[in-house]
Amino acid sequence: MINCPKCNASLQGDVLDTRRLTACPACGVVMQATVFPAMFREPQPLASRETLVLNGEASCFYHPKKKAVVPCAACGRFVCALCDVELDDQHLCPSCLEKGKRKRKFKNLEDHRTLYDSIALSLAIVPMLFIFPTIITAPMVIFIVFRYWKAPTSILPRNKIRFVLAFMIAGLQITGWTFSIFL
Amino acid sequence: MTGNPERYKRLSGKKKRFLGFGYDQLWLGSDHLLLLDSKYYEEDYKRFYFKDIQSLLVRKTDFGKIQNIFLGLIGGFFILIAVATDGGASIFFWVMSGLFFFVLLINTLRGPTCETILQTAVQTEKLLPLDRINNAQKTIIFLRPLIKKFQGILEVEAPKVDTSG
Repeated sequence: MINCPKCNASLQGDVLDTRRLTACPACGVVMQATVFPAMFREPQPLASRETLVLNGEASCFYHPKKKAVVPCAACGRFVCALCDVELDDQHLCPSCLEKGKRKRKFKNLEDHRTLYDSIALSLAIVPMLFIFPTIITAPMVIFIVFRYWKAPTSILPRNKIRFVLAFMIAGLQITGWTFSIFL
Repeated sequence: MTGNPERYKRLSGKKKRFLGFGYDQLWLGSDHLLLLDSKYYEEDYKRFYFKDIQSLLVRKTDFGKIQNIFLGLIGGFFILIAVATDGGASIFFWVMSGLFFFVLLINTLRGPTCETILQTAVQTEKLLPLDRINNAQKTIIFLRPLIKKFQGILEVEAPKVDTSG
């Protein structure tokens, strides 16, 4: 079901999947709706509950009364249909999924990254406006560069230039302060 | 357990936020779209898998026209001040008005503004980077065969939806 984004009227077939702008029949807003087969896909039925058969069949590690359908690819525990999580063509149990997400083993589950290189570069540049804070921030920048050099940055294409620039700027600041204090 | 690292291709420019702190951008993965929400020191990602995308809606908005009216008014105001003054101040205000009209020209050339909405079974998400009709339509033309590859070919005529009641 597609509704007009302005008036929420349900859109009819002759407005859907056009390759040009058309007007909503209800409110007249100019729009283009592109529809894909997933719109008309029937929802898949939920996995049925399987009870444990009392003749030695394996049970789910997390639900002892449910029949196991697949072993976890990571830890080998048997899991039922409800516990089974399919990811990257592997079947995982909830525990291994959570552990893998925490350890960043599943790239497709990552939804957040901290950009330490941008932090280092900003910390190197911004205090220069006020000059004196650089005596404190320059060593901090050097620490951040070394501490987080190998830490994962963005999942998008990105090089280390920000770290390099931050290191060079902080190095110059420290050199400048050293000369000004001791000379 | 780890898969091959995903390689992303840029699909849109950066849509900067109001006051310029942070931006949104759209990237293309092997089997999904990635919506980047960057705050310069950290990034958040949302993935929309092609097999789950039900529709892409582009709705024309008047935001571009409002921007043009605003820019035109400010430019006109500076012209009035430039005419009323002389010397260096007049030149300054002529330059300022020229800048505003230049931005107005760029805004006009970029085409009408729009709102692009991606719909799946469980969410409706605005794709902020696709804020111009030209770009939105080009992107949809590019994505259409990719999404169809993951979902199958769409029927020529979509079923009519009853709007009664």
